Amino acid sequence: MMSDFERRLRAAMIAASEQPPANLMQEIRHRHRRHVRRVSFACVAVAAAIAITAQPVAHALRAGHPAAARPVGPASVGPALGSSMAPAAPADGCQPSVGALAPNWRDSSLQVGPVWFAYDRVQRYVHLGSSPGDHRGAGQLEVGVMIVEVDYGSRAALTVDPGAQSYFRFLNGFDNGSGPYALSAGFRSLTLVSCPPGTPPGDSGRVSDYYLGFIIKMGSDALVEVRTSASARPIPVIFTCLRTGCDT
Amino acid sequence: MGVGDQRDFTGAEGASASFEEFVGASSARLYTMALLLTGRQRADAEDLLQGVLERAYRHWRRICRNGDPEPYVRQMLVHASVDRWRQRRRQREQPLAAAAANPAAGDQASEIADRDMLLRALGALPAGQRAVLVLRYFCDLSEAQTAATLGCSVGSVKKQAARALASMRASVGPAAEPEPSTRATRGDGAVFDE
Repeated sequence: MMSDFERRLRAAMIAASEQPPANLMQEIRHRHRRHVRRVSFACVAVAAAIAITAQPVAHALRAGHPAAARPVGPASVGPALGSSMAPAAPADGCQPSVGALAPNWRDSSLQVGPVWFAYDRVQRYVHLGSSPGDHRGAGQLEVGVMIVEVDYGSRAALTVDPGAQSYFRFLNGFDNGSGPYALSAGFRSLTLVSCPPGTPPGDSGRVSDYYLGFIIKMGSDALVEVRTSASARPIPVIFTCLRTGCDT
Repeated sequence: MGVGDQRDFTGAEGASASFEEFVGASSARLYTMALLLTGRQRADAEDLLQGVLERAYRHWRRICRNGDPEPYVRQMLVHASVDRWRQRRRQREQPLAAAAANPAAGDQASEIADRDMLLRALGALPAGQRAVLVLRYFCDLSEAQTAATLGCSVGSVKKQAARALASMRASVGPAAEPEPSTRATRGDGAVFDE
């Protein structure tokens, strides 16, 4: 049995009946569109975040880069690492050589395992070694150009030593421009993956060629490690920019 | 009220059309319920109802699969109002207006004032207790149905309802609920319990 109080309460509730706003259905549709937009945007953002995070890790895994062993987190996926790794992708592929080199190009090139720095014995912008000179940090930024050949069936990861990253970066392209150049335009590492062994030879033989460049502070030496597999020991090379210029 | 009406929304009609039909048929009841659940805050009630109906629209086919969607939407409304109240419970409660505490009895104006005072007292209750009273007295649900809607036991519903009614009686004051059978008036006008 309902008490008088309950009956009064019930009557009050029923008397409080009101019609909903006339635009209720319109407002629901508006909310629904907003929800769909929000969910779509969130999905795109998540996909982009996964792509940005996965790319450097995949590169590092393929190249046996030390970054592969590092945990993925805010400390290891900073803007510097992201910018250094992600744009290296265009150089990372099979590019059979196309007729730019002389027939005896290997004689005048520096060999580092399966990697050839073309014409280096003429230009001398890079040499084997692990002890950069003491003359770093002086002068302005200069750009050097280099053609790198990689034997078929091989890969190589070129990583700038942390001590040289403040004045040396790779350029992903053959840049003959005249500056000005900024370090932020370059990369701290490059990964070069040559063609499979069965690929028909190009004009320069069974090598894949890459037209690359580097930014370096004039008068300085930069230590770079060349690693050809995850298990192989890295081979140190030193890039140099003499006061007379970085290229011929 | 037509709370128990069975309508078929699972036929060949598109989900959108059946949803619009449902909104057209039920929105007045649901809006009033939202008003009561939010303590007659119109903006809150509209926001609550729109949010709940939008979520219902997203899952409309699934909601309609079990027949009449109104009980489910009602449940969504109650849960959403309780969630909303939990988020806002740090806000200060609004005390009942002193002028409304002792309405005069008898005429239509006092009846309106009495209802207003009851609804204010209802709005001052915690959301869970308010939901129990709205489901019991506005939606005419039994204690078992109320318990099913709220996802709690019948005993809990009884306890919540008793506490809510006691709290409302205390807010409204004894003068608002005269019970002649148990009270007597002395010649000097004093009211005492027998």
